[in-house]
Amino acid sequence: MSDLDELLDQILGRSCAPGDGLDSRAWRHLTESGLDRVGIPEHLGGVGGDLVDAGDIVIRTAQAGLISPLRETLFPVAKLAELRDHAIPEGVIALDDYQVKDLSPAHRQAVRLWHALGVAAHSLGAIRGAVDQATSYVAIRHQFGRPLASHQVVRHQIASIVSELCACEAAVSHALAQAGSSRANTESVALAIASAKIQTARSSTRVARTAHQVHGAIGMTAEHPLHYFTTQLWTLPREAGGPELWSQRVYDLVHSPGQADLWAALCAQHQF
Amino acid sequence: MSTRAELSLFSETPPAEGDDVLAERRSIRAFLARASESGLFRPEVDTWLSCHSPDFTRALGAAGFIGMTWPVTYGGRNASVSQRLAVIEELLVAGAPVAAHWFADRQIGPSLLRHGTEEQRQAFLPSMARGELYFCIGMSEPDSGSDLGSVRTSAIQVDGGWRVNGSKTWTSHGDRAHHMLALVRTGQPGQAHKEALTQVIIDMSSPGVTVRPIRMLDGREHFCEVFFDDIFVPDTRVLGRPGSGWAQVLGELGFERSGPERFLSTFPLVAGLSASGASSDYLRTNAGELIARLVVLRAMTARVNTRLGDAAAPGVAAAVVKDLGTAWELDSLDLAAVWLDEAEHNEDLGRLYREAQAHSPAFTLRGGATEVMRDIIARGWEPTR
Ligand SMILES: Cc1cc2nc3c(=O)[nH]c(=O)nc-3n(C[C@H](O)[C@H](O)[C@H](O)COP(=O)(O)OP(=O)(O)OC[C@H]3O[C@@H](n4cnc5c(N)ncnc54)[C@H](O)[C@@H]3O)c2cc1C
Repeated sequence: MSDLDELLDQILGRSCAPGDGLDSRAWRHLTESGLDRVGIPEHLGGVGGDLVDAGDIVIRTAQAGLISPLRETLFPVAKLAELRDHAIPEGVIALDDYQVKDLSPAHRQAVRLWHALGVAAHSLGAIRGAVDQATSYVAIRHQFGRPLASHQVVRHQIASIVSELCACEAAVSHALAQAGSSRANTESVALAIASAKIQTARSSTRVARTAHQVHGAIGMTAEHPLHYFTTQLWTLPREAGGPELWSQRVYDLVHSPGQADLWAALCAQHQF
Repeated sequence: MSTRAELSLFSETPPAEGDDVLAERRSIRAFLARASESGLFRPEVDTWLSCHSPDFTRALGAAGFIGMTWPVTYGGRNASVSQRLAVIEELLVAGAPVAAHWFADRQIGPSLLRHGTEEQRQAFLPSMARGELYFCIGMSEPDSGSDLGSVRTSAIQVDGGWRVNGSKTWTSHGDRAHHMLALVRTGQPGQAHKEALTQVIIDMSSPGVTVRPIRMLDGREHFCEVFFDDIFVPDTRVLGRPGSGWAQVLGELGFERSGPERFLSTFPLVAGLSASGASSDYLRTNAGELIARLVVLRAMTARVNTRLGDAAAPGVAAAVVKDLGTAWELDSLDLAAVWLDEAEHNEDLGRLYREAQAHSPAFTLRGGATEVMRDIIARGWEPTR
């Protein structure tokens, strides 16, 4: 296990409960440890680390149910700092605080892409959290004299969201690897990120719906932690552009004049 | 290994395609271009199960693209699993007729390498790699489909070997295969299938083997019924130990379910439509989404592929790929119908669509039904708390 994973285990395992926000102990520990500045070069006020590390932090905090803007801090905000070659001003953690003014169209697009990547990573974390909630619950809740999980219909519901989760794991790790690779070209990075955004948006909706269904009424209560994940899964697909916009982007990317055909466009991501 | 630990492979990034893989892509593309120019094939859909061409398979074997990961002594060339993945992707995408050797290359060869005797490997692998020897898969029976452990075809020990009686069905290309890798019952009635089943290699020309092709809904013949009337199988044709058949079959299914053929069956059609362009926003949006899902499926297969050599087969991960991949294939046909309406009339694409549609019910059945995949996925997924 890496140092980063261990640190996250420590902070999230000990002091984070689903629904914790910026006034929580977990958030204080995270920022005191510099985890809100990972993946950002030191001369821009960061603490080093790479994009995969930044992704890990966003995924793990979202999985723990922390409500935070890290998906912006570590992705589009960090990208902006890099493009402007300016340290992130003290206290800036979200895009709102850091206006995207005076950017060239190319830079604007880069920030948008990184925003989508951050949202995809956060969605993956929330999906992990919701799948965890659902699988735990069906094991302990009994109806008709046996656990819900012993009914095949319920097991298949669980299987379908586990599959969605696996797709999101692959989509996000692929996008992070492409985005962090110095040898990937811009189109292949855009294709990988757009695909991760589309996949996580699609899965968010499905996972939220199924996680609620298997919980029955208790999942609708304020007391049960499920909603900390599902309410986020309802809105995340609309953040940083909805899946329909990104789908058109994917269509355009694979049909750009430089691409011989669909397969060549799909393989271009591997030409490095 | 727990399911959760196994499925974590999806979050691990495999090494990027290196120069060896790129070189492999270039060389198989060049082979395919030549084969297509010389009239060896025209692109079809669902080629890995349906398009059987001894000529193509022999040419492919001669060029070193069958059994390429096997050791040189058995006719292979020690290529990496990533190189092989690139080659089989290109074959499927080109719509090339690969059915004759597909099972041998994908699962029978690896099973022989893992469980076979030296004599068995020498007897089968080199001619498989040359594209001259074909195997069929003898798992399903009239009364044993999803419940594969209930197979009844029996093998009874006699002097020097086994007497086999019973029947297999849905055997793809059973009428053209030289051998079958069959799952048979060697244990006592009532014995748990974990110990009662055995894999045997059956010579399809043995006295007492009868093969009858089955007509399909489109009038074609593809899979067969196979009957065994007291046939003799020598001891030297048992694969692995008697009683270890169930474990071996589970390993084989890991290879069978995780590959790119579980989402590329309809790709030649989708690529053809893609080349014709899309004018409506509806089509552009939905095609974009479909393509994004394909990017993700490729990433998933690449991740499982790195584990196929492991001692414990990634059977649950393979089930996930098969479930999502075959759903993609069906969705691609729904969109193709819209696309065909919008595109300029194109006889070839219309034909590919009708072919794919006729084959489509198989996508979510062959290799294990979707419902069985979901049982497998859910079974091992234990809660964290
Ligand atoms: C084109 C094609 C080629 C094939 N080639 C081969 C081959 O070469 N060799 C070979 O051995 N086999 C082959 N098969 C057979 C294939 O493996 C079986 O079709 C498959 O395992 C399903 O078995 P079945 O058809 O008997 O359906 P059944 O097992 O009868 O299932 C029918 C339906 O019931 C559902 N069902 C069954 N049990 C359960 C359960 N416990 N819970 C929930 N739902 C359930 C299934 O999911 C399915 O939807 C081929 C099949 C096809 C379609």
